[in-house]
Amino acid sequence: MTVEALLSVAVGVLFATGLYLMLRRTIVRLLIGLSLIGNAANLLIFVAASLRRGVPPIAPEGAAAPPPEAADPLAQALILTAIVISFGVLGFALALTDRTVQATGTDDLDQMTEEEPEP
Amino acid sequence: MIAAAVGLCFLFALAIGVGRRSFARVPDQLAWLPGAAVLAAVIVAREEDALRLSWLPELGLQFVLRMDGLGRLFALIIACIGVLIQAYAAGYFSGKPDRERLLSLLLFFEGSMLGLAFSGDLLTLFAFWELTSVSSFLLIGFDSQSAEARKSAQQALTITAAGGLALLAGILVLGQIGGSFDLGVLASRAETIARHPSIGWAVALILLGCFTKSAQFPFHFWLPGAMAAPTPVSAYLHSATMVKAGVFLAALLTPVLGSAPLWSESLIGFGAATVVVGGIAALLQTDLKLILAYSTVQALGSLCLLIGVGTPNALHAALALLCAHALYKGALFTVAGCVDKQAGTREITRLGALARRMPVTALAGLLAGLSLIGAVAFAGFTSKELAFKSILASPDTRWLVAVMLLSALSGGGVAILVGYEVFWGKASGPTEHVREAKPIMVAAPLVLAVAGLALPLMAGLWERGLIQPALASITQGQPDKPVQPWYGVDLVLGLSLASWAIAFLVYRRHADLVHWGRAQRAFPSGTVLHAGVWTGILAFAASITRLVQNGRLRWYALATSAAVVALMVLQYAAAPGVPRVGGTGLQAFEALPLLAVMVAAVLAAASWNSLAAVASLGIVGWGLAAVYVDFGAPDLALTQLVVEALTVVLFVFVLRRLPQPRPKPDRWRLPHALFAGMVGCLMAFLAFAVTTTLPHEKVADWHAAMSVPEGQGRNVVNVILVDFRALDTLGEITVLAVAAVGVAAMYRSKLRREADR
Amino acid sequence: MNSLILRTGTTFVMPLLLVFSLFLLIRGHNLPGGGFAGGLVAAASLALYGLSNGMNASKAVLRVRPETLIAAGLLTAVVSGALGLAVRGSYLAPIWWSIGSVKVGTPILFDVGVYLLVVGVVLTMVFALSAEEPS
Repeated sequence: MTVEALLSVAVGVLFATGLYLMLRRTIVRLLIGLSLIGNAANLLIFVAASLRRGVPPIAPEGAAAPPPEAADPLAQALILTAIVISFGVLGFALALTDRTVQATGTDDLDQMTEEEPEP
Repeated sequence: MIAAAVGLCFLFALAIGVGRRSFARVPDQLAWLPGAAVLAAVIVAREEDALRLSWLPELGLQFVLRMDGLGRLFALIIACIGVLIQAYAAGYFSGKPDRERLLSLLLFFEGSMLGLAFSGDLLTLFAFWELTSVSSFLLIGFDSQSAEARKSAQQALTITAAGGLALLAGILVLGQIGGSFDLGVLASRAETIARHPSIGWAVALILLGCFTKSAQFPFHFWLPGAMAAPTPVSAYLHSATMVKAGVFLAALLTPVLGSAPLWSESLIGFGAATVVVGGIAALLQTDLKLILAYSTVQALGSLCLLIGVGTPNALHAALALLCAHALYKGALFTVAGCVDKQAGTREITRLGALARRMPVTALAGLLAGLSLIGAVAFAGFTSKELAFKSILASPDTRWLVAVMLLSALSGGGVAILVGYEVFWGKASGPTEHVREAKPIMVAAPLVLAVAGLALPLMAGLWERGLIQPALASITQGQPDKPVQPWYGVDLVLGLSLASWAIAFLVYRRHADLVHWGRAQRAFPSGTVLHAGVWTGILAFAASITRLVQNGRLRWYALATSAAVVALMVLQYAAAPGVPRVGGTGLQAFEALPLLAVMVAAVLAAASWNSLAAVASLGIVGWGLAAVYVDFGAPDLALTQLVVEALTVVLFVFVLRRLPQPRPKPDRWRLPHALFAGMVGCLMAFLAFAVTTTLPHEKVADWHAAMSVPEGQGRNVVNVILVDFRALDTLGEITVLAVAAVGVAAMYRSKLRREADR
Repeated sequence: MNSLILRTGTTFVMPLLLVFSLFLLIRGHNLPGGGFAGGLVAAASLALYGLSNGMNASKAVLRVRPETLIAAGLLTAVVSGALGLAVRGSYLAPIWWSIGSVKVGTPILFDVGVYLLVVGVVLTMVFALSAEEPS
């Protein structure tokens, strides 16, 4: 068993559970699914940049560059922004959910669709 | 000075638009001064003043403003008539706030049009071409309160913009074939270009652009619709200048495409059809502006036809007609505007005997009418003589004489109706209330009409100063005869006399013709077809929207992920392979957080207790943070931990107010679970495949090496975020700001509503 | 969450966390940290304080409205880019000055902008979703 294999399985599980939750009728479950899929995508990017154990991409004091065995900084930059963006999106989605449920009186996505007036 | 002329227009347009209040204090008599400044710049512009700006040299993109003979002739027409029309417009909208708006738009249009005339590069030309379409849209819809004006403006825009798209495609094809967008370069490669197998596409697409812009049959119907614009606009854009842009482009490209297949056949064929349709339709109208609009359609057809014939004689005649038509049609439109404003109607059946009431306008109308009918010594005569002679000179084109005769008799009929009937015909009502228009308004038609007489009398200047340089820039050859006020007694004069006689008959039977025309309802007009196509497109778009945007959120998630799966499977089928097994050895303590992540994810999916699900979500986040720490990403771990805590807080806030979720009957649960499981397997496979197959050389290496020397920072992740890829970060924080503002807005409006209650 | 222990605890911890967040921000160019992490920690400290003492107390500590912080942060980031445009002719091109042995540059200013914006964004959301009426 290698780290890559186990991490790949974790990616698969996160995607599967996230997608399953996003397909449910209850709106809160959709939001939890959204969060899980965000985490899954971050982990996928992290796995795609080759894994290096223990050495962050930080140059030691006085050195011109990080040691050659350091982890991939670009993927980390990508994931860092992705984490924060996911948080922003989730906050927005939570506010939207809160307001929608109060307006329609239901947390059932199928009922919300039916109550939508015809354009 | 070439660029200055164009720039001045836009500058004045902006200044008048912004400083409306101040400009409103400028008296009508002086409102034409900006236009005069532009005209002065055009007059003193020299060919050496070309402006070349390189934009993307690798793609051959450049911005070129230069002046050749043809551009100068066109620019002079635009600028001269521009001054007169701006004076006229100031009188037309005197004292109203519309005056400043119209003048600003007219100058904006003039700038686009001058840019078009001076473009030395096809893409530059296209940019200005689109600007003229936009300004035409704004000017047709000038009276934005009127539904008819809005509809006409939209119709004109869809037709000319669709043509503009075709033109762009044609320009790109031509640029590929010729290897450049520069007109000079293209002209020097004309022979190879004409032999290229794909040149037919370029010709067809470019001509489609020309035909829509210049209102050629079957796209001509937008021009009569454009008469919803105020009369100064009709006189300027839709008669003298903008609609000539298509003809101008055809002339401009004659050195490049003149010998290409389809070119002259299409121009002659569509031009002739347009002459017939426009010429006949002009005689069936009773509205002065519609008569003149269809007559303009017919003249544009004649111009296309002459350019299609393409001999030096025909091109020479086309240039003469370009000048003559701008003068007499501009004059007649402004005359019609004066009559409309003073007498209160444009219906020819309700007009007559206005000569005594409006003597100056009547004189202008008469002179312009004489030029249109082709009376000896007027510019219209010269151009008509040259056109007939150039067609008769070649046996291939002799059959076009019939078309030219129709054009002559239609023009004659229109001239009698607008230049004579309105002023000297039988009065059909009281005329005592009618007064002569203001001096500033009659100036424009009078100057234009007198110029139509003056030009042939100064034939030498006309020929050498304007027409010869223009001709030299589009053909090597020389015409047989220069422009003259008189060509002697010959066959062409006989044909002219015959056309006058028929025109007089047509005039006497005009009422019958109108009656007959109204009976021909069976033939679907272009406007009806356009409306049908328009509603069809909208209905199609609506049905697509109903299908794709069906409002069911679950359906979107399913469709999106199914599309991703399909793309991945296709990609894999193109290059199948089994990832090799290998990688980093697993240590026991590392398995723990990952197992926790997986268990927590499954719990979150299975649990009906929202708080438990959110707690599981938190465990997933912390498990991932542990992974990040383990594999050298402390920044990620830190961020993930704090975000996870904040996520739980936000969730709890909202969950307090939501109903406790209850299991709902859902027959899709099992299929969805199977689909999600399949996607999960696929993603796991993808993750495994990329970890074991990605190459070792990476973009990241550059960033790692440059971080200290270039970025002055030892934390490469942070240097990437705030320096190397700072623009991406700027975009990201903007998204965050928008999301936060959205959240704040949702709750702010709630508070306001509750306060109102 | 009306707990005396939590309330007392957060009153002490909040300033410490705020200082820690500034520390993360300043050292972020060379060691783990930076504007995102620092901003998140600062926002979390104020959110925690709000949870125990009420959001209005947290707002009082913040003094300015979080929306103002968003605007200030975005403006700071945009201005730091504009400096690059003005001096080096390319938007967001970095400029560095040495003050003694300390290096200061527009990327640091940019990171400060990120910090302010993240604090503003998170607190805007926390205050809005807490749905406590402003006093």
